[in-house]
Amino acid sequence: MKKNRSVIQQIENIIQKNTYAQFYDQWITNFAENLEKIWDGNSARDLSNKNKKIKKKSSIIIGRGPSILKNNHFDLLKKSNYRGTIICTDGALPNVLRAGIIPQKFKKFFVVTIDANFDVKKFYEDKLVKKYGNKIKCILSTTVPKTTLNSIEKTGMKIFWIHTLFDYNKGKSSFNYISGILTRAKNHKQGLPAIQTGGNVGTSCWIIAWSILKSTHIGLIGIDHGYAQETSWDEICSYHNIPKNINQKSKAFKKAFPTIYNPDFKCYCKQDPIFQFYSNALKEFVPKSPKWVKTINATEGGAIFGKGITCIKFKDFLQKYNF
Amino acid sequence: MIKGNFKVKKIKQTKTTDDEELEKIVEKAGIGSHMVFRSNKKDDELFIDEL
Repeated sequence: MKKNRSVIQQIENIIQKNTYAQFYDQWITNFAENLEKIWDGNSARDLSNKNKKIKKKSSIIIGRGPSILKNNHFDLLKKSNYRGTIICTDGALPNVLRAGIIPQKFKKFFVVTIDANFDVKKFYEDKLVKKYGNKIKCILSTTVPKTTLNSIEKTGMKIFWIHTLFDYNKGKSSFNYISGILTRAKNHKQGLPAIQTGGNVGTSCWIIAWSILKSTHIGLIGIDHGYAQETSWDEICSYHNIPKNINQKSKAFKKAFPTIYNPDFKCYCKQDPIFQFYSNALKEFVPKSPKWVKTINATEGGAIFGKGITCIKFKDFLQKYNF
Repeated sequence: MIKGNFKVKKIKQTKTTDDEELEKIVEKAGIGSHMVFRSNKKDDELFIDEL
């Protein structure tokens, strides 16, 4: 089913407006509270290969979508001899470590946090995260809450700072511009790398994989941006809000909560407005990435498909892109 | 010569009930973790090396 552009725009406009209203003041406060640590800390640019020549390198982005358990992806990865880079979303990290995917075995191991939500710190307070923290590199937005930063520091992770873009198009009056100047005022004379987040940490990991870590082949697991067709609306409520007392048979409901067909994995998937917001952005950005970037969806389901995205089984990804 | 003297009635674009209902649903559906950055300068939209 081809999506109506105006519906996509309508959904994005509302979610952007509300996200901005919710977080803008907090981003400023968080940045101010983190500034001393940012000045004294590492730039994520330090993780980039200084050699500008692009070499074949593979990464796996791990989200916490339900496909990861359904398709036994933790076990496949744990038992593999994958030599590439692991880039974990913060929410997935405790379960990844619990599944035995640990930095002792997978040496190039990263976690990413961009979120200003105060709950994120709990991922870093997990026993296993504390146990393995000093072997994991954390790529962190300058606008995360100080409480999140404190929890990360306690794990012993080495932190690498990035800016997250949201209003740079407003020029010199933008918070992105001003925070860039403030960052350069001490130590970081070249500033920090700044990334498009696509609205969520999974897409941020994808951007980081090619723009900073210079991965040429990027596999996605647990990045579903949707729910399997058999998931009930009650269960979906436990992930994101479904407003109560609305007619689930109305046209508007079907636009907000569509069931879409993934032609590559030949399955249906349900989406809500937040997942539409995320997946529409990622699908738009993949074809805009450099030509040497190959994006491989290995979730074996979900809503990520389209131009520039190759969909294959995770087992095949591990065999084909083990470099 | 024919003189045009038509009173052109402007058709106001009104939102359909569907659109309004969709807006209400999306308003209640929550917020993103972060924002999707849009720029007219497309080179800057995905990644800036030094900010």
